[in-house]
Amino acid sequence: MPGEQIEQHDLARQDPEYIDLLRRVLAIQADCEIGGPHLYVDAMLPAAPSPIDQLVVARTAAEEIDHFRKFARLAGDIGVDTAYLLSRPNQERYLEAFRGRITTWEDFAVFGFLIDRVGKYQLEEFVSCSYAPLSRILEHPSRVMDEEDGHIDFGTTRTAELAARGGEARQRIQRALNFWYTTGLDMFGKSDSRRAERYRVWGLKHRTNDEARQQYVAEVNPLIHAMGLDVPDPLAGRKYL
Amino acid sequence: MLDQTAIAEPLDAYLREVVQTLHTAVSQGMRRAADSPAAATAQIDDCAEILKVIMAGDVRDWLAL
Repeated sequence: MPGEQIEQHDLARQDPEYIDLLRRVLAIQADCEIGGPHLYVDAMLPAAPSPIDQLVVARTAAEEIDHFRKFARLAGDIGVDTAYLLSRPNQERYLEAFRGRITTWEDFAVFGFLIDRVGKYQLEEFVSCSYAPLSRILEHPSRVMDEEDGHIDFGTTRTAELAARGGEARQRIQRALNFWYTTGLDMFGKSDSRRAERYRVWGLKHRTNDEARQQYVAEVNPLIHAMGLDVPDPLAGRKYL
Repeated sequence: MLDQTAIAEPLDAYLREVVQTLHTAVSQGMRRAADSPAAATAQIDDCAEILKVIMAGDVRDWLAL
């Protein structure tokens, strides 16, 4: 199927493995989109450092809810009910990055800087992928991509500002960075993942997990250096190598 | 197996409206906060109230199922 794109009305004629993988990837993507707001809305909406920042938290949540809506609709259109994800306990999210709670502004900032950036790498996999309705959501100009860029820019700017304050502020942001850097690298999955290879075979993803992870590292490490922060050990605390 | 789920369309419509309402509140709040940060309190409260409902995730209640 290289280069071939499948429309929804042709899906029933596809290989069962392809349908299973598509259903799975849509459910995971929907889970990740709604998983973000569930991490930070409760604590960060009231506690963001200024009214403008509170509104940015609300706007970010609104955009992620809208991303959830779009992926949930794609899933729902092919018989996958993802409504349960809206009330799923954080501890049961597909990815570990979404299983806790964000309770500090430093974590919220670094989450945007690093984890939303991982999210963008994941979304890039769907650009020109084999399922046309999914590909269309991410094709340029893509509102989803533009909004994710906004989250990344906000997080990057705030992380840099906090790092520039030095002293305890720098220590706090470094601690947050250490945690989310490791989490972010693990989000790409195992380098030898068999399922990731099947996604590639069926044209639902382009890069291997390791290729995407290495590109991400090459992008974020110079940014971390430029902020005057230390790049964490890329192997420390990792679960998926 | 590949038929559209029963709630695909109503959930989509509900969330679309919620997101639009949130964006309106945020935009109004941003304009007010540009003049005086405290002036955005009502819009922030509106966002908090809406997001509380969404984070609860009671889809059956939203869609009156």
